[in-house]
Amino acid sequence: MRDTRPALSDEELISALLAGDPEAGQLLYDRLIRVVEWTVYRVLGRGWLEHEDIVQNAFEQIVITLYHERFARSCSLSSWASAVTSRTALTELRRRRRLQKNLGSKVDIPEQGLPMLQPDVESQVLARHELERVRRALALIHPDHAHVMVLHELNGLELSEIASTLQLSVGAVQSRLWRGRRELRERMEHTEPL
Amino acid sequence: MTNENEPSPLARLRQVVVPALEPAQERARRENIVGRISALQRAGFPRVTPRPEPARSRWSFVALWQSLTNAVPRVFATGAGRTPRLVLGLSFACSVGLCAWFVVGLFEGERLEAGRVLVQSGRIEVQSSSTRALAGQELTLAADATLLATDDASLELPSHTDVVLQDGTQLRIAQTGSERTTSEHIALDRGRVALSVPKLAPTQALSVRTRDSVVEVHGTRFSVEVLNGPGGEALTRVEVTEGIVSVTCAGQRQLLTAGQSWSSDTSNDAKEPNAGGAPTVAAADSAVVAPSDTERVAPAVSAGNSDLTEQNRLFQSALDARKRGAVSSAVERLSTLMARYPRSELAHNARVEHFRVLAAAGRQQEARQSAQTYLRDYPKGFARAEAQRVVER
Repeated sequence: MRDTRPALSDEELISALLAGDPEAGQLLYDRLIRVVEWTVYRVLGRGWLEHEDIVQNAFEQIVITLYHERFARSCSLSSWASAVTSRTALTELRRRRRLQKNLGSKVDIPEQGLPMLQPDVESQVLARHELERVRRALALIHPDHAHVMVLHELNGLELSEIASTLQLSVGAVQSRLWRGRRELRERMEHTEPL
Repeated sequence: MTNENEPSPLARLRQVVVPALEPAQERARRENIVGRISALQRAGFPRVTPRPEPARSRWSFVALWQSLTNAVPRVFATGAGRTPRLVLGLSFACSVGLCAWFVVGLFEGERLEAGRVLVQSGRIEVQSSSTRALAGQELTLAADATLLATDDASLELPSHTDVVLQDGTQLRIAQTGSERTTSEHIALDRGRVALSVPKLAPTQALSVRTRDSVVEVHGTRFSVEVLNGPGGEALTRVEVTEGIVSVTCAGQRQLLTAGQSWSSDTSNDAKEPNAGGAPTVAAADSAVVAPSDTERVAPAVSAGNSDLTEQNRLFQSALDARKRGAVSSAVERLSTLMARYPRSELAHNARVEHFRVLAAAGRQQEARQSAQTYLRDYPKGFARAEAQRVVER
């Protein structure tokens, strides 16, 4: 059933949520599911069964941090959600890499419906492997740098928006982005194609 | 040098378009997540695991004493008759008891403190308190707390050691000693853990205990697994990925280097024959399996057990000397090992330890020479980056 009330501002939605309004959860879901889903999917792919768990976990983290006043309210709710989600997804990415490295588990991550309109199967496979290579390199770089890169380059947040979301200066965000790009390229050079 | 105008590799991930879920799946997920948000609202947005009480410390005694001394004047100011005296008497008795407890605590020596860990990923259950922790939460554990991984999970110990737990692994973690001389102990009851241990200070130690073995760490990556033997008894298996660990079983201590594995199962001798003629240290009830990694330098001749025992002894005594701060002694023993057994597996590790010890002692010129020798002898060695840094200093 669609909500017929006028659209609430971020501030009103948060207040309703924290006041226990039973409909606020649905509104929050509808407002944030796209950014949460896209962030998790792009960082991790959807080969793993726990994809749904990670999306749910991200929502739980968003709600709990809103309540515990860790949301500085100097950025939009969507930016905040993307910051929390990308942190969750990157942690998961690093966990998978550690599992692969330490336990030697062979993890096959099929990229279902890779929609890059590759002309043939071979190109699709190559593209899928290339994505996996980027993800492996992303798991290896400094977590703070990776976080800023995902927010800027995957979620399209402006530097100033990232700065207010993470409570950093714009210069610090630029620096992390620059270092992250350099580190990622270096890692990619040392990561053999699959 | 990288060209900053090139598109970032992450642009490839951005091209991925997220496929839509089936309407039924979408509905189910919406109900699930909205239901979870409602549950959090009803429960007052708790942090998923309540923070446990902090461990007993001397500071808690100080805080108690301060509150007591602040309270007594207030009682005198407001009370009348015999009540203030009674309160004062009780307070005195309590403070005497607390003093005794404090003094006993001071002289108790090394006792089992609560372990503190950070859950990095997955789900962990603390069985004694029936609490559950998710990624990003810190747990302060009572000494007898048993952790159960209900999913593949990972933890970070205060020494920044990463511990990866396979689903179903059960263990206990404890710390002993003061902040600077922390010893971390993992008691593995069942399952498998993989550890990535940063370089520990000489005063730090980390060990993994199973029912029949103790694995001590010297800065490395390795895994320990508890298996069921043919007769139902618990067996231990250790695999070393990088660095060195020592394993003590039935009073026998031995060193494992990168690529080696060890099992307390004697029947493994038949199942896992020694590969490539690499050195094997045979204990009465255990088996070491040498690496099959072709990059490693294999000895041209197989060494006898007595030689290997001597190599182990020299290497271990060098490590012990380094721990004690006896640099010259450590360097001398490592040099002896390399001179006597230049083709041994341990010579590689000895060369690494040699330049590390010298560099840590500030003997830069010697450290540089040793690192150069290492790079020449082991151009693909596991510590080549570290050696390169020493040379460039």
